Amino acid sequence: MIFTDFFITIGHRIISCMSFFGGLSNLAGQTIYLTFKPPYKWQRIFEQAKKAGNESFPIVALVALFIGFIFALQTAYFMQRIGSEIYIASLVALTVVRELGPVITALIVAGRVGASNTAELGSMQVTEQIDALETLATNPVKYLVVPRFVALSVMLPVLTLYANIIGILGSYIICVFKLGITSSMYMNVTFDALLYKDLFTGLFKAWIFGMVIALISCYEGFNVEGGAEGVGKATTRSVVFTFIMIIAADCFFTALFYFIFP
Amino acid sequence: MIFGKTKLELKVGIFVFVGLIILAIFILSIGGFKTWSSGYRININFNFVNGVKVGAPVRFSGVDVGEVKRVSLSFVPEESRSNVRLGIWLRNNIKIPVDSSVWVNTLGLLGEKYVEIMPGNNYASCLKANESLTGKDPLPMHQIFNRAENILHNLDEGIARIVNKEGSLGKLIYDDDIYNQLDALVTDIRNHPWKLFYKTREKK
Repeated sequence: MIFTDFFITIGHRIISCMSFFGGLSNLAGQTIYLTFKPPYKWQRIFEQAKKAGNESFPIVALVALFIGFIFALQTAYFMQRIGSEIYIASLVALTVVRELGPVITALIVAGRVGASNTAELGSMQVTEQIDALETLATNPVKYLVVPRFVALSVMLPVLTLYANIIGILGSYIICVFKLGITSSMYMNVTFDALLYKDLFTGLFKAWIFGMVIALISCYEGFNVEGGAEGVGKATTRSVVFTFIMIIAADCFFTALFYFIFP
Repeated sequence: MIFGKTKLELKVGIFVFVGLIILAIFILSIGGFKTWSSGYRININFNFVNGVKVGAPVRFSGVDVGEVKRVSLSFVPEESRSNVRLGIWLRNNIKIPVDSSVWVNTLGLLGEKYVEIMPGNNYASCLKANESLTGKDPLPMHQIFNRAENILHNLDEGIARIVNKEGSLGKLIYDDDIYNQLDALVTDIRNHPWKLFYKTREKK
């Protein structure tokens, strides 16, 4: 009997995993199709863009600044031992622009905006407002998902740009005022180390992360079952899955870019 | 005044616009403003360039003044040899005398390659746009290694002869004879210093 239970558990896991990715792909397909299909809901896109972009900016800026401080101090610990403090600038520039900028921004936005999307859509689902939309001949995907999808996929690269410049600024403050590297030297080394591909692969990743956040949070919101408790569970699942998918997508694209742009 | 809908759009617009400004700052800083400052091009002909790549820096009197924009290889039928032509971009205010010498230099022993221009004296006639100069070919790395190897080989043979107690140096080092004789000489002179001043009479 215990064996049967074991296989039932495995089977159940596999089926729920398949149905998650299947539903997600289905939603992604519909969303991308409806994004390009008029009429465009500019007003709703702007509302979501303000929520995802402008309102996330303070926390993204704060975290990016601290990341800059921390990274400069942590690398200084070793770089001072081998007497090459000046390379802190290039290390920070490359790490922030290629990796930390997009990923930290995406994680913050996933926690902030993704969770709120799931909770909002989830409570609409349990109070049957989504069914109501459908009876009014309004496609809920067009009305609810597309604005969030467009807003997040535009706003994440923009937020990443802010995070990049603020992260570099944070390490600049440490290097110039604490480690005695001159200001112009710091800037020269920073921008000597960076290439266009570093900047654009970072922004491309941010764009992908934006879409991942929007799709997973809306999918979880649509699939809430039960009442208020279900909304809570779905929000947790949404944040956890988004985090996992962001890191997985990051790993995939980092490896891909490593091999196609050596 | 701006209300409601327009105000929302204004906020988002400003936010994205500042983001685009940051993007422009990044792009301009990474490109180093080179693309936008004015300059001119000259060509330099080589037989061998030791792996100079597009984007390699060009130094005039040791100062970075431009970069390599194009590397093209062509065949010269008259002289039956291959010619490497480097298209070089220089800032407008740089004057290159026609008798300058140009060669490919390396940062460190195996570092990045760059084009070094040592200014000549003839500032009366400077290079104009699209004019050409002939560069001195760098010595290929394998030739340097070959020469070093030859030197080492010769040195090795010499040392081997010394170690094998051959030749006068080998004998000098390994033979006790000369030491004993010197020792005897010094002892003799100590005992009889007057011998240094004594001129022996030639025997007939």
